[in-house]
Amino acid sequence: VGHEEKTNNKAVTGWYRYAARQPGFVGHALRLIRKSNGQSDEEQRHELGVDEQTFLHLQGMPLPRAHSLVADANRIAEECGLADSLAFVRTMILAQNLERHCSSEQPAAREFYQAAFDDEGDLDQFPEEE
Amino acid sequence: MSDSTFQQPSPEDLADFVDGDPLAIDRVIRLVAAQLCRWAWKEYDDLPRDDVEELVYEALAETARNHARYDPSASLFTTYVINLIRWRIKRLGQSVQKIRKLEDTSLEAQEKLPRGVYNQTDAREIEIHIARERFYGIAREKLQGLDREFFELMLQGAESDEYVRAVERDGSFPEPDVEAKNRKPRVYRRLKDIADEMGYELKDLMKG
Repeated sequence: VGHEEKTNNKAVTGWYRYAARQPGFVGHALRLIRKSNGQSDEEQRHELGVDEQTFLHLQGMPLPRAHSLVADANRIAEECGLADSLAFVRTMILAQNLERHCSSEQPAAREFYQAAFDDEGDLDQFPEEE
Repeated sequence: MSDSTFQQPSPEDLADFVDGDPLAIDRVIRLVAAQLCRWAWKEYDDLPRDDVEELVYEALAETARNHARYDPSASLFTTYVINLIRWRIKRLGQSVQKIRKLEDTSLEAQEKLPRGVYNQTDAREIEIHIARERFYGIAREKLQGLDREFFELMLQGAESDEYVRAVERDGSFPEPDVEAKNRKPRVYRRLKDIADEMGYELKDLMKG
């Protein structure tokens, strides 16, 4: 049983390490914020008031849903036992705004004009679907 | 659906998982991660253990990101993820075999190989596999929100109505079908730009 429990814990830790690096998970959003603020991992961790183990769990959590960002962020903060849940909610709002800002910087105008001159009759036709 | 040897998440957690509830997703993955790793290590004991583990996590992350695609009434959760793992393992197995073949530089192996372009095709395929993984990572970094969801759907070869459903879930557009139809070529062009920047051909990267 001891060995099985050890394997279980190792797999869950491995999963959080992996998920923390993936888009769609909290770790990815926290990294965006660190990059934008010029913060270190350590500084961010202190700001959120968590120890290393909890920080890993937090980073491996899926992102809050856009339509219930504050409620989900609060629930995640509670689940991970964050000392300052408000700081986490603020960080998630900031991350969402940052993502939106990044999206709005996309070359939309060029795409718009390019789309206007598309010679494809049906916009659903793509090379990979042919 | 048949019974499973794996411990399954509760129906409530699965329903919340499909809705994208982060806590439910976390609970479901915590429950199955170790079980699936153990299964995969045993099933694919000839492949590097760390690589197998990473593929299990990849499949879980993909399932979590595309939570709405899982239908609890159609299959058990573990069966669904195992199918994704099998598909990925198959691709990894092919790559590992090819790399091993290329690394095998013994005289005997060299003599057995036909002369000429014997491994150029393999090397090219491995190159494309590596480029593809690199491209997927960068595209996931660069695309945000709905664009990223569209990219994931493209990778899975999703049908048109799944794009519309993704826009409906987002809830920001009054005409989801129109938005889906217009957004798809935009995302495709963004992917093409990313591939161009990396010096790749998008058509090589988005296949298979």
